[in-house]
Amino acid sequence: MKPVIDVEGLTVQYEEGAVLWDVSFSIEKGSLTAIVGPNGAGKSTLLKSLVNLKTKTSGRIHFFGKPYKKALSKIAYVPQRGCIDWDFPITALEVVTMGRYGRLGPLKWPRRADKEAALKIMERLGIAELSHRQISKLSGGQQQRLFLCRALLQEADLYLLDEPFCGIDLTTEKLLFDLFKSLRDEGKTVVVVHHDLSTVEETFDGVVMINKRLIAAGSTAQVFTKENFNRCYDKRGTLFDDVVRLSQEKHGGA
Amino acid sequence: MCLTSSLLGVLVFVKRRSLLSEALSHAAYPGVAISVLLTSMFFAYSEELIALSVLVGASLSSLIGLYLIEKMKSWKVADDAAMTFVLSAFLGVGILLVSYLQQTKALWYQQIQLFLYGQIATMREGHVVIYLALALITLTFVTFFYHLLLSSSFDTTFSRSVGLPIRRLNFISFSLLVLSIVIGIRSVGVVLMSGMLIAPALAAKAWTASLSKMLLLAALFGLISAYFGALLSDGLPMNLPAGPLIVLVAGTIALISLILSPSNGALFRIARILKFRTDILRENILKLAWKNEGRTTTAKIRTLFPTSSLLLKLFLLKMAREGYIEKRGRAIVLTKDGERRAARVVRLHRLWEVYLFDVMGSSEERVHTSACEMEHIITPELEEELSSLLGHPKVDPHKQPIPQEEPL
Repeated sequence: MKPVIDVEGLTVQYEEGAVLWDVSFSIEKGSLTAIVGPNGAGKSTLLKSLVNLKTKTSGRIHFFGKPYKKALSKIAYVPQRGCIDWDFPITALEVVTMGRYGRLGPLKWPRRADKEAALKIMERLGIAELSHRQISKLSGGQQQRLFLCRALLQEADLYLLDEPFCGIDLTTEKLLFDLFKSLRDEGKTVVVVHHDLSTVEETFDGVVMINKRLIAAGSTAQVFTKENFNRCYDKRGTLFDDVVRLSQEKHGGA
Repeated sequence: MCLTSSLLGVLVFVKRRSLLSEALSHAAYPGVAISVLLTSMFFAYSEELIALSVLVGASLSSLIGLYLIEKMKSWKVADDAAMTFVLSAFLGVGILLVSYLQQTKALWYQQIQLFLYGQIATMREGHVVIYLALALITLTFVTFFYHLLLSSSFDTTFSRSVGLPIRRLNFISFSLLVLSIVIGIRSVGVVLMSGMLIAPALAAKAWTASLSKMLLLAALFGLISAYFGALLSDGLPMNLPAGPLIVLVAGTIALISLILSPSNGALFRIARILKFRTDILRENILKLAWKNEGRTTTAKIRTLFPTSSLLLKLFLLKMAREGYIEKRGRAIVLTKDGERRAARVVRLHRLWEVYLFDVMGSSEERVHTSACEMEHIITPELEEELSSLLGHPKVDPHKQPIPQEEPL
């Protein structure tokens, strides 16, 4: 069966240096995968290049055997909370309802049924009472749940989440873990950029370990070895960064 | 015109690109001068021809300015520096051209000058018709495409991922913006045009948290500014131009909104602070009594919380009316409700001390100060989470008992 995500030779290079270098891996359907690595390893960039938020220098990415543009409707992406403009005049319910936009007509006027569906999901995640609040008036955990509601409303087959466990309370953390597990059990695929290594083994089936390049990808048991950790967290990669940056500067006339 | 600019101004404002409107309007000025200059070289004097050529010239000039800003950004110039540079450089060039024209072609010069600060008094029916048409187009656009605009302004990534036509939408919004600025400068002038875009948006934001209401309010404020600006221009004895007066009214509305807004205006904020301080005083008095077997005296309160004796007397009367205390001779006694309220404050205080001591590793002395602050702040939700996180403790770090929740 075709893998849900198939990445081949992904390289992302900017003037600041090489962010990702020749990364290849694939993720199977119905799995719960964590992307791990040290700070600056390129985890967020990896996710962003998957959904065409960052241009790739080279490489091929396929979803369900097709390029991103053709598989859009089956993919839901939840960005880091830091990327949102929390002061924007929009209420919680309006944000969640956006999840249905993929299925509305060209002008995207939500119908009553859409708003009800949005409220129901919000109830399931315990934030229904906040529906009329402006989004900056929610706590960290509530904000994370909000964007998760929107993603769930998209009814995608693949969920990509960037650091969803960052800065949230215990209740929300447990809720997220349970939610991801049940999505996986329903046959969906969930990929999470995760920073907390201590919770990986008990929760995630698969791991993609990167530090600018792929260290290892596969089942948690296979990847979580001392050897891989040493390779992932060593400092030998920074030389590569400096050399690439130098080359870019020279080519740019610096 | 004000309707158009206020609506579009909101869209620009929420995307945090307000400076762009300033740059666009200032960059239009040299275009005005050049187009009039060119027209004067080839044609006889005609106001209609001037109006038309100005439209074209101003738009081109604005767009060139914008292009330059983008170019500068690609040369690693900071966003705001690029905009400020283009804004002032273009305006400067425009003023130079205009002074040249002043000496050589005085009649044409007059026509350009009025674009600097606008001149509503000399506008004609033709102008009104154009303004009306633009207003209707903008109104229709914003109403029909509301959800698209909401989504693309708030979260471009998401909008793209669900296939919204972001490029087309941005193109139309931007075209309307340039059009409204270029057409608007005839009435309000190049220098003040961006005020007409941003002031209503600023005022509206102070009163609402929803984009739709913000658009409605901004439009309302824009229209009010237009009406009163024109009224003042007519009514005041001095011969003041209407354009700047309109912007002045809009600015005043914005200022008043910022001060009076219930959600974050200065006035209400001060009121809320005062209320919070009295809440703290109330709880501290209750706490004092609770620790002393449910009674205390005015004198003791005064020693701990120095305030004027009159104010304190009044406040204690208030607390009695609220049902928290009873006055018995010289003493203050807690009612059952007072006891409950006090117990809760003490509970929060001691719970927080446990949290700081166990989880944050603070020393015994430091936990007390922080707890004195937090005991007035912790909500019932936080209280529940705190208690379960700590395993429902029964004593605090000073070995004092923590008042438990009352069974229902």
